[in-house]
Amino acid sequence: MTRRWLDKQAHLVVLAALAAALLAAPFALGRGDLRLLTEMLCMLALAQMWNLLAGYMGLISIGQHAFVGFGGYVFFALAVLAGVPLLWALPLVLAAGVAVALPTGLLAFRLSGPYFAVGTWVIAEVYRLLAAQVSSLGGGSGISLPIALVRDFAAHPVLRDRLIYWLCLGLALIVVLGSWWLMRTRVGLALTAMGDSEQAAQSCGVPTQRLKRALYVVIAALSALIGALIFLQKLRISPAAAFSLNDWTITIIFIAVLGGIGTLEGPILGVIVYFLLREYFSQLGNWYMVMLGVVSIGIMLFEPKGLWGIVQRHTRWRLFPVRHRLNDQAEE
Amino acid sequence: MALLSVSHLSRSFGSLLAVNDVGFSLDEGVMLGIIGPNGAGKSTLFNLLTGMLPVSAGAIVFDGADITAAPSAARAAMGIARTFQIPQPFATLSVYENLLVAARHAGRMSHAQARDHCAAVLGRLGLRALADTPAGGLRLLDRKRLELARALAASPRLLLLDEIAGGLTDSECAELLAIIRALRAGSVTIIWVEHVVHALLSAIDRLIVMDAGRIIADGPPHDTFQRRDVREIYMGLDA
Ligand SMILES: Nc1ncnc2c1ncn2[C@@H]1O[C@H](COP(=O)(O)OP(=O)(O)O)[C@@H](O)[C@H]1O
Ligand SMILES: [Mg+2]
Repeated sequence: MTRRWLDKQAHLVVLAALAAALLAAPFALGRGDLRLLTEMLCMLALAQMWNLLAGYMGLISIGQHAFVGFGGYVFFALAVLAGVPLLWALPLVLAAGVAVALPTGLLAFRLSGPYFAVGTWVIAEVYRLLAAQVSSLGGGSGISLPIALVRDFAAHPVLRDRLIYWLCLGLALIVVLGSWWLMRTRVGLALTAMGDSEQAAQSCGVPTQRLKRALYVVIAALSALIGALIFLQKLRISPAAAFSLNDWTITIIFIAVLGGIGTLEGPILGVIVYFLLREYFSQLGNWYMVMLGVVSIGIMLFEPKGLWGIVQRHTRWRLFPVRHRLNDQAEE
Repeated sequence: MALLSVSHLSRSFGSLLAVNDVGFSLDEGVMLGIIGPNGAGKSTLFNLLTGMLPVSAGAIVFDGADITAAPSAARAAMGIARTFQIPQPFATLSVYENLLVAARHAGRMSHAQARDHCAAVLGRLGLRALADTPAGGLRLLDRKRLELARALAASPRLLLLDEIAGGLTDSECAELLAIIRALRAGSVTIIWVEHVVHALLSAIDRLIVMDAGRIIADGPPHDTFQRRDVREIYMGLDA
């Protein structure tokens, strides 16, 4: 009985332990490690959201850096141009994310399949070019956050790093646990169904277009918020860094594919392995990029379900169980 | 009042008129069969009725409401369910979850209601034992059953069956026929498109014959099937 209960609830125990460890991490880690962990959490949130878009809804966006960069720039604009306190600027970035995602989505959703992918990328390029035109934000060379506002946010750099870390942790938890919650609802069922057959999903009453648009907007707004936090940590923004295809889209896709798209656990595994690879091999320079390329092609060819797919061949255990079962009541 | 009425319905693909000025109306509780050679426009008609394709001309009225321009999902929620000629299971979901999608969305049921209803449908179709297996790995007969089960999971008022018996052996076909016959005990209205004519004729109340996008005959099943022009179309298939 106790044994069985433990088996059933093991994922909750693991999750609680993980969350507690992450919450306490700032007290155990040095500044460099904490900043690395902050970055990992941001990448995790972005990868999880890309996974929802592409892995579940078939929306292969290669322009998510549009929203990361947009969020970063709105955040800096609010601080630099309007002197808005940094903490207050964050919810405004979220609202701005919604406001920009609506028309962007309207445009992108006119395209489908590969055209959607290319379209999202072109849109991101346009945003980058527009950002470089704003001379009050440093034009093409970028700008720093005003020191006074940064001091208001946190008097000491160590405290600042911790606050940013906890904000990113909170956001990552919202994204990961929110995705889990969503996938357990009827909407999650619909998302998985859409991935298998959009037509059949419609015939079962799933408003596929409406779902896609709604989720696209929510994801864009959250990506903008992550963008704001990323550049709050960096204290400086430029069009090239903010709208980096490499950093905020390609890497994200790599993480999701590596871990396994279409699963909630995949991006977590992916982000851990990606950062390990980066820590140990990035000094190889170009060869490191070649290695990432080979790894991703290998995964796509031989393990399309990613590393989590390999894990699932050996155990049915899930960190985020979402399945509905009929005959085995106990598994509900 | 008719549950479904279709008037002057047309759909073209380029210069091809796949559905050409089709009109009929269907009373509640009736089982209508539609036959016709390959390419007659039967599946296209279903795609128009379910909103998977926009019409080129004409109108569709369901339960008194003009649904000609309504999105697919809305029509499903109004009570129109369908099966696909080529089964389209949600392959990564289990058999039970396939039904849940329809029951929770088109059927608007709560989780508890949906669970009971889906269990009952699965039992009726002999899929209960397969409930928790992935739908992707089913054999053909079970995939056909799943198509039907998923359509029924929404508790539809109008059920469109597209060649549900196609590709099955005679005994499998008989099994499916028994299930569909049993549906008639309920109040569901059915349009059944089939290539296997003998399966169809024994079950339906009314027969429509289509050829090249048009309705060429419409009436009681056996009389209509015996008509000369109909037999001519079916010569190659049925002689
Ligand atoms: N999406 C489509 N695009 C172009 N032509 C189509 C399409 N769907 C069906 N057709 C054509 O319309 C005609 C009717 O097809 P269909 O409705 O599938 O016939 P049936 O189901 O009676 O065999 C065929 O000639 C077919 O090739
Ligand atoms: Mg057909």
